[in-house]
Amino acid sequence: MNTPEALPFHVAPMTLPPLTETALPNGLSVVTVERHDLPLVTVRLVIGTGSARDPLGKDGLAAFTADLLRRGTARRSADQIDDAIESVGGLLGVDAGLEATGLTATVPSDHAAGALEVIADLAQRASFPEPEVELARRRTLALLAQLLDEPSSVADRALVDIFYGKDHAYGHPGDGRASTVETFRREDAAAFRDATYRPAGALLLFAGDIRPEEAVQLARNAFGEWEGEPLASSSPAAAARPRGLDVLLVDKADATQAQVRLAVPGIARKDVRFYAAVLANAVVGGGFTSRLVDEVRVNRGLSYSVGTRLVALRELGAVTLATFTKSETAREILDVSLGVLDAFRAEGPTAQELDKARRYVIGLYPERVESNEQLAEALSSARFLGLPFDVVARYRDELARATLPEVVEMARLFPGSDGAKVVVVGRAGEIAAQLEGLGAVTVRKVDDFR
Amino acid sequence: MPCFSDPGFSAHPGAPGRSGSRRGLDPSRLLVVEHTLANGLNVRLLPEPGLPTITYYTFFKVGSRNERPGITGISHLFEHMMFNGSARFGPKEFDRLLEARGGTSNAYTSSDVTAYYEDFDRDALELVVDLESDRMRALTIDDECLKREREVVKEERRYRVDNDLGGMMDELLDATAFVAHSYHWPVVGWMGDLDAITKAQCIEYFRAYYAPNNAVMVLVGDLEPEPTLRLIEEHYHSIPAGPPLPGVVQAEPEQHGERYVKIRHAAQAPALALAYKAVEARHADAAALDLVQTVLSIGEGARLSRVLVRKKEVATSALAYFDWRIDPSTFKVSLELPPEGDPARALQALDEEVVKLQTGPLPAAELERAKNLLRGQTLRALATHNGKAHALGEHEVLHGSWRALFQTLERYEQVTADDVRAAARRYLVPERRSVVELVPVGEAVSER
Repeated sequence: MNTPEALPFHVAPMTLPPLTETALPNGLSVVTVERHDLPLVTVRLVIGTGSARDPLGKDGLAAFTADLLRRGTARRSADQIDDAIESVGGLLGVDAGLEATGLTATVPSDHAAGALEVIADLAQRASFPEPEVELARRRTLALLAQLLDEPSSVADRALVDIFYGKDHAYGHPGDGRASTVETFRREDAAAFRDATYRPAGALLLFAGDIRPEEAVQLARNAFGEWEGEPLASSSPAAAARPRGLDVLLVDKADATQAQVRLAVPGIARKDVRFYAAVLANAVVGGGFTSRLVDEVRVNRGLSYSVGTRLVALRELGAVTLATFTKSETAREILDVSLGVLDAFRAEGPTAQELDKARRYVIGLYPERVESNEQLAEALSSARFLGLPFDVVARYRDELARATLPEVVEMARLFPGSDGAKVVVVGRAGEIAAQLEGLGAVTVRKVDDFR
Repeated sequence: MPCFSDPGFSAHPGAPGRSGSRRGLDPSRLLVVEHTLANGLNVRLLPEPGLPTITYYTFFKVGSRNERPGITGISHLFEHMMFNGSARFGPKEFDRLLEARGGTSNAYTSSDVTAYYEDFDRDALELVVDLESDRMRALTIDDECLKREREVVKEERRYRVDNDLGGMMDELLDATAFVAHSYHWPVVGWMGDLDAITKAQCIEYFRAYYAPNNAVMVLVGDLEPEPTLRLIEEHYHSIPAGPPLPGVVQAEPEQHGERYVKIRHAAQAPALALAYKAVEARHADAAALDLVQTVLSIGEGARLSRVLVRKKEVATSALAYFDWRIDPSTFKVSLELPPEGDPARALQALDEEVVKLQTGPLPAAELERAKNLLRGQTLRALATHNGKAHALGEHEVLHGSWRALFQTLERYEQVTADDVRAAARRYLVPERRSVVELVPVGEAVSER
């Protein structure tokens, strides 16, 4: 898109371990990233299903199903599954996101085959024993209740609600709601697994002390019989930028501090302007010398934490701000933050600011992919965002290429007083009056987000 | 167990094959270069392959245990103030200059230490040595900076304690468990003290504790020891040693009975936090207590998870912690209950598991699992430059030498089932414990 300019500083090439990819006949992709300095292997299976596929009225089912995989299969009890990994000092992790569900274990190299068999068993033969399902439902309901005590969690749940809206595939919290989880039965989990766990489009990653030939052979043995047609991929709609500030005040009567969120639509990860947006984000709200930290924390002592985030998903994105402050200064922190954002949107960064932000983000990056686990996560993330693996190796080069005009353009992506969704969680008795004149304000209770 | 500085990870420890090689994971192969400057500054350097970066830690042996009522929270407040300018670098310059060279910086304060670290490209080493030595030599402490950081710390306190049920419980737990020792008060400090701390007190604190003879520096990564040492000498040698450090009075009396306190607060569910009086990091029983923690609480197959959470359903989560500290510490257990949960039943279930551990069998496979998990966790932390630097520095401060890192692993290997049972019998007894019960009240309680 633009000719690479002479860089003002040298970007050392990122050397990543050699990567090998093999596709099995059933569509499962087997990737090996070899690193033999430590006798450890991370095995990570990622399947293309997540909360975006929660059926109507079954918010939270994808996460619920994922958590149950390890609670028993046709071949192993839950205790046997735990033991297989933990007896050698490994831990099995499950992560269920919007569009992808992952199973990860890191074990000593000699135990890689065993770990893979366990993961393969969970993915293909989970049996969802009834007592386990009942227990999981009770426990999830309890955990959902406990979340309401955490102002930050309530703010995040409210933001998902107000930003995407209930009809959107992303418009509900991944862990679900009390009213939906209450309905979960064994059949729901089994049906979700049957309907959405597919080898086609799935990724099996080995990172660490293993050779590709061995990895592929293990994969063939363990997954060779896994079948299923590819799933249709969804295209969740992107919203328009709101006009004016749409404010949701969630009343938490015992709070002495207000949690604040802002959000506007952003860009998808594959958008060519992504790297320019990353840099814009670093200038205004990433890192300790960003404009927001400067004005909100350093200059005024209003908060311990303030920052913006670029949420760049497969088909759409968002740009968010998160912060908190004592109840008395809820309006002030909003005014100051919006002031900073408006000024940034109007003119973008200076060349000097951009230069500094570029160095910072480029300098940070290698540590984000230093370990086997981090590398496995970065690569699987790239695949499920529709990107080639080499985005990891090329990340810093792309950042080095973004020009000032491109970053200035991306500054307009950020929330501003012209339009944003706003969430404030705190004591309405103290905060509602402060918000007068800010925009359309709706007041709800914490309990509404149960 | 040691505190792992591994912000990027969720817990995925790995362990070397028992029969296989320990290639690359054997701490005895860490070729640490040691040097002490004339002013007492201890320096430890470890050249390491991997990323072309360096992690630079400075541990000051000062934390909330060194404070007194009236100035609690000063160590942590001070940590904040360390970023606000020094003689040769104006306010905000520290972070600006570092970030402009692709580096990041952070710090933490505990009851025992205040640790500062930077991760940066190897080429920025000279800059970082310059920045760090300047603030050790001549930090700017002014009214403006104190005023602002005071407010920031108060927000941090509100976030971590006053608006966080777990934080609130933990604060009361320490205050109940420790009646005389300085572990009684929170690291973040009481709100009243935060409002009262003066500039003069900050200056006095800086002079007393932020001296080179009270610091250990650990650098790990793409560095060459000789030129690095020369650079450090050049920049730090002129900083004078500080006065001899005041000790911490060990006034905590023996506890002879259970303490049970309640917090009544808006909450969705009850909860329990317990602390058993235990030992310091250097104590002979510390390794066994780490194993007690692991058997009880690490992994889905751990006893508290299997029994309290799944079998009896008296808790939604059950976690045990034994924090390594300079002075005798506590073995803690945290139980979150479901909304209709019964604290008495949860406590009874915990007591039953403790008794089983004290007197029942500890199968060889279970002990082996625990050792593998601990070993994996310890060694996994050594997979990054930052993890290595932190582990070395922490052992230096808590045990007197970075070499103690090897001994930690050896000690785990040597712990027997009898040792684990004995440690449980000695420390996990009701007469040595404090309990905080969260009693939900008010409108947050859902209709039943």
